[in-house]
Amino acid sequence: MTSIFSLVARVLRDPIAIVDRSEDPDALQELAPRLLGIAVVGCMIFGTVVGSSRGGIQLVYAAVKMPLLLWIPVALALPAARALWMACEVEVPWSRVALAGLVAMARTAILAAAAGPVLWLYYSLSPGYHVSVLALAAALAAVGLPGLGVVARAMPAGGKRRWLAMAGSLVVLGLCVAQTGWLLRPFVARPAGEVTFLRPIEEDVFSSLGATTRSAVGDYSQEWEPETRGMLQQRGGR
Amino acid sequence: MEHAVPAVALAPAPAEEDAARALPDAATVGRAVLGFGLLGLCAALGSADIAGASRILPAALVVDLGALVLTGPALLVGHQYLGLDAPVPSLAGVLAHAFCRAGAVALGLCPALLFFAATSGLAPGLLVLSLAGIAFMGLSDAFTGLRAAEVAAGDPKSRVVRDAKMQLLVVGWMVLTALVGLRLGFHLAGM
Amino acid sequence: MSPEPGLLELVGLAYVVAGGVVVWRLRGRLGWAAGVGAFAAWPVFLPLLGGPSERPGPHATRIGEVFAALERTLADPAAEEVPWSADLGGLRTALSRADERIGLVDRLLADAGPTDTTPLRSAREAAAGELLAVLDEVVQLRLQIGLAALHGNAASVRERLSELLARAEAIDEVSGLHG
Repeated sequence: MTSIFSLVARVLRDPIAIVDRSEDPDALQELAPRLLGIAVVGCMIFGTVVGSSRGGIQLVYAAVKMPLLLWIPVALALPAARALWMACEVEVPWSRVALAGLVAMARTAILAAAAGPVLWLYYSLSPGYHVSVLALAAALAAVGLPGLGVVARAMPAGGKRRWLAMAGSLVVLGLCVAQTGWLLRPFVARPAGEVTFLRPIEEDVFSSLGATTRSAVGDYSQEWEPETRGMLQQRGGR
Repeated sequence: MEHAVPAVALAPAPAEEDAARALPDAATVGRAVLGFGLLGLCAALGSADIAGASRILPAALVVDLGALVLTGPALLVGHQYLGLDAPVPSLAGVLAHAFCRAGAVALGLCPALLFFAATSGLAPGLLVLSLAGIAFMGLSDAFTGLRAAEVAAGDPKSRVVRDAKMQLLVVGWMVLTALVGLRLGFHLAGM
Repeated sequence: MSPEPGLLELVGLAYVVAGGVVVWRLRGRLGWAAGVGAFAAWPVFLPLLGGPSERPGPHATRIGEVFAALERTLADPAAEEVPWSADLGGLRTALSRADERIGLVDRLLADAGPTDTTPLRSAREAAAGELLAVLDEVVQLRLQIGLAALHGNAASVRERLSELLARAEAIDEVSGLHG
C-alpha cells in the first residue's frame, strides 16, 4: 500500500519522471497496472459522487461507468496523437505515449476524487438537472486539464509544427470525450426519469448539445427527436 | 529578436536531410496506403446505406493519392521549366515522404473514426474533417521539404532567387493539389 | 433482440479478443490483478509484447534520464532560441540502437560457454565506453545550452550535436560489425 501512496504522490508532484521510465519494460510492467488501478479507484470515487445527485442504484452505475469515460477516449486518441506527433517529426515510442496517457488518466482521476466533496456539496443543494450536467462537465474539464498537461509535457522536445500535433491531439481527444460521455450517459440521472445503466444509442453528442443548451435556458420551442443512423448501428433490444 | 533562429538552422542535419529526400521503402508506402484505405473503410461502416458506403470507402485514398498523382508531375515539370536546381528524385522523395506521413496519421485516426462510425452518424463528416486536417499537414510538410531541397541544391549565390521561385511554385502546386482533391471529393460525393 | 450484431458489438468483440490475445502473450509475466488490467486496457501493455530485438540495452535507463534532463532544459522558454532541430531525436535513437546492440552482445557473451570471447568482449567494452563518454558529453551539452541562451552562441550547440551524432553512429557501426 505504501508504494501505491508514494506512486500517487509522484503522479501529482512529478508525473514526467514516471513517464521517463517508459523505455524500461520492467518499469512499464510494474507501473501500468498500478496506474490503471489508481485511475479506476479515483474515477469510481468521483462517479459515486456524481451518482449521489440521484442516489440509489445510480451511485453504482455512475461509479462503474466513470473509469470508462476516461479510458475509452484515451485509448482512441493515443494512436492518433502519436501519429500526429510523429508526422511533426517528434519521434516518440508507443511505450512513452501509452505511459503518458496512463499517468494523465491517473492524475485526472486523483484530482477528480479530491474534487468530489466540492461537487457533492453542490449537488446536495439540489440544483436542476441541466445545471448538474454542466457542473459535471465543468468539474471534468477542470481536473482533466492537468492530465492533458502531462501528455503535452511528456512528448520529447524537437520537431516541426508541434502546435499542430498538440492541437490535432486535443481535437481528437475532445471529440472522443464528448461522444463517450454521450454514449455512457446518464451519469446525472433525470429526477423524474427511470434510472438505467445506459440509454439507447441515438443521434450524437452534438445534436443533443443544442437541445440541452436550449433546455438549460428554458427554450422548449423546438423538439429534439433522436434517431439512429448508420448501416450497422442497430443494437440488441432495439 | 537578436538571436532568432534562422529557418535554415532549424532544418534537419545533413544525414537526416538525405534520408528525408530518398524514396521511402515499400513497407512505409504500403502502411500509408493501408492507413488511407482503413480510414475510408471505418467511415464507410458508419454510412447509412450500401450506396453511400461504396462512395465513402475509397474516398480517403482516392482524394489524397489521386491529388498527389495528378499534380505531382505538374510540380516536377514546373520545377524544370523554371530552371531550378534540386534533383528531381529528391523532390519526388519529399512528396512521397509527405504522403507516407499523411498516411500514418490516417492510420492513427482509424480507431477514433471507427468509434464514431459505431456510435453515431458523424463518421462521414469526421472523415471529411480528417482528410482536410491530413491534407493541411501533408501540404505544409511538403512545402517545407521542397523548399529545403531547393535551398540545399545548386549554387549558394543564387539561393535567394531560387528559394523565392520555389516558394511561388510550391504555393501554386499546393493550391492546385487542394483544388484537385476537392474536385475528386465532390465527384465521389456525387456532387 | 436484433438478429444481426451491430458495429458496436463487433468492435467490442474485437477489443475483447485482442485483450485476450495480449493477456495470453503476457502469461507468466503478470499477476492476476495486472492480467485483468492488461485485458481491460491492453493498448498500454502492447510495448511489453516486443520481441528480443526491442529489448533495451544495459544503459537504457541512463540514456532516458540524460535525454529527459536535456529535453527539460530545451523546453525551458529561456532556451527557445537554441537550435537543436531533429538532431536530438537522431542522437538518442543512435545511442539507443548502439545500446541495444551492446545488450545483444551481453546476451551472446552470457550464452557463449567456454569459447574464446575475448575479441567480442573487448569490442563490447570499447563500444560501452564510447557510449558512456557520449552520454557524458550530452550532460555537458546542457551547460553549453545555458551559455548559448545567455550569449547567443547557438551555432556551437548545433555543431556539438552534429559531432555527438556522428560519434554515436560510429559506435553503432562498430558494435554492429562486432555484434
